[in-house]
Amino acid sequence: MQETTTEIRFASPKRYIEESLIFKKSQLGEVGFLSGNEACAYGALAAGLSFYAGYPITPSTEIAEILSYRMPALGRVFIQMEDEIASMGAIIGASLTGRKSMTATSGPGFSLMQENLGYACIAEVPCVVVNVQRGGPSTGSPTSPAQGDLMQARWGTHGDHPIIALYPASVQEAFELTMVAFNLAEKYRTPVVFLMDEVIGHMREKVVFPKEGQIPVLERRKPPKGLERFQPFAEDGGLVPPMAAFGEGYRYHVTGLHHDPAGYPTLRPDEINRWFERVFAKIEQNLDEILLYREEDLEDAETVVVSCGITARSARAAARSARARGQKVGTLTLQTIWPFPEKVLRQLGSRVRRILVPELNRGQLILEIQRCVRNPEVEIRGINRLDGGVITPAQILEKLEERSWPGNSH
Amino acid sequence: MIERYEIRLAGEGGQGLILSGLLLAAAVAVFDERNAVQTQSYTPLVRGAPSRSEIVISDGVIDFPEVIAADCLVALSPGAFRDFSDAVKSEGRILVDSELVSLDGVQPRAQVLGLPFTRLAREKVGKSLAASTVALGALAELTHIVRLSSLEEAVRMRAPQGTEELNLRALKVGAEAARELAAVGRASA
Repeated sequence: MQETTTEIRFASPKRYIEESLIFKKSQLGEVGFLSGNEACAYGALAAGLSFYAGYPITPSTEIAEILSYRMPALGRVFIQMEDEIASMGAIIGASLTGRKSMTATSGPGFSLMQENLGYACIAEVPCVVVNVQRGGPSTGSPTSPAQGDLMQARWGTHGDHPIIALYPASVQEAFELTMVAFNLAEKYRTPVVFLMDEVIGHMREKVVFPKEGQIPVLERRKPPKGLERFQPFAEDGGLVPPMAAFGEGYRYHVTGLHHDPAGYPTLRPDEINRWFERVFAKIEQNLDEILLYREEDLEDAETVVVSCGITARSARAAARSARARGQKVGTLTLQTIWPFPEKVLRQLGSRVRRILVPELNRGQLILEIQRCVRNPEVEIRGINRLDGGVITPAQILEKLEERSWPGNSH
Repeated sequence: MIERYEIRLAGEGGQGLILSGLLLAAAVAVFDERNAVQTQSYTPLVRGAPSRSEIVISDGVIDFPEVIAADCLVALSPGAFRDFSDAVKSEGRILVDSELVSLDGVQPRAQVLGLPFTRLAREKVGKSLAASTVALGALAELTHIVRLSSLEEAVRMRAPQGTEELNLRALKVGAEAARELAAVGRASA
């Protein structure tokens, strides 16, 4: 199979950021003080976002607000749609014309997007879907943090499908990982879900804007011009077939039905099977690039706190305190939540004794960890909070010091 | 070297607390070159409902971004004083709007300092909405946790367009009032 090549061009994020956001030029670069939602919006602009469609919803609204004036100012398209179903449809359509597309929402809107998200999966349409999570289900607690959409991000749409979901734990990461989300979407022809916590979305921190070229900006691979016959889902073009933009010459068929390499509906088991094999392989064979995570103090750790987003901040604070008290604790922060880093967790399970999983839900992340860590010697426990507050370092520390852990009794 | 210094600005929606928190944190993080994180809590109701902004300052990495035990509380409403004064460390400080907040019946462990932020804002700045910026000026003068000049830089960079001069004046008014209060304190001691 032919190697996937992707055109790379470098962009200076500076061009997409308002001067007023840059407080200061330092040796590190240009420094701003932003919220996570602001960072996400500007990171998207820096990555080349050229079409945004959405319906504002707390706690994601600032993303739409910023893009509503920045996009027209940059000659790009912003549309406020009638709802989230239409928003998702619009970004799929725009992406098919070659635009880098995004929408942003929260839990209730993310639920409405699920059907069309599946369409983006089957038609292999690059796009970024931001979900700044809030307390749910339904209207829930609009202004409170929750991490209840981990599984919705994975399995919210029906049918088997691969998906990529990223999860920042700081404002700096919100900027950088948004750029990465676009790169992965374009490179692998897939929707990428960008999960944020309400606290990260609204929290403000110092951001050092990446220097020109520091984070590459990837463009999707297009077919060469003048082909006699273009096949949008060709099986001989590598795992990620080149994608022609509507309006640039090639006409082709796009459908939500299972389709053959030409894009026409098929019920042939061999064609359906080959499609599944290929779309899963394009993710599974590139895990080295897709799986992002951050390890801290794992070398000698007997206990590891595994978490994501805002909870990871508490985990790191607690781990440091525990170390100061003589406990060998480390942390693993997942920046890529889907595909799940199975191998990383399996390896971790072979060398630690305890895994603690704090999360702002009833236990979603812990299910995956229990699935991956098959060593019966490892004790896996969770801390769960659903009342709209965050898990504090003290709560984690208290749990770490519980006498009932195997090996803690002495 | 500051390991962790926590400030809570509390009052009601519409008092400008979220903006003040942003200005304070940006001043510290960008111009004082420390680390600072600002978080906020608000209800969907906006004006009149409880609102607060929290700032954590450190010379090291700030993992947990919210206030655990405040070193300083600025309370611009009776509710804010009642709800948060006990969550201030005993060696901490509480700044209250002395004309909006009654101290009767609440005896926090921390030292309480009162200044008429809202009246100062109305009379000396020309806009009662600037009360929280007046409080920032006082906070800088009384705690030295942020340089006044850094707050001024942050105001110039990030205050809503057209309000820069007003906010700069508010900072100055607050700092002067705090200096006077400190002088009175020294004289009576």
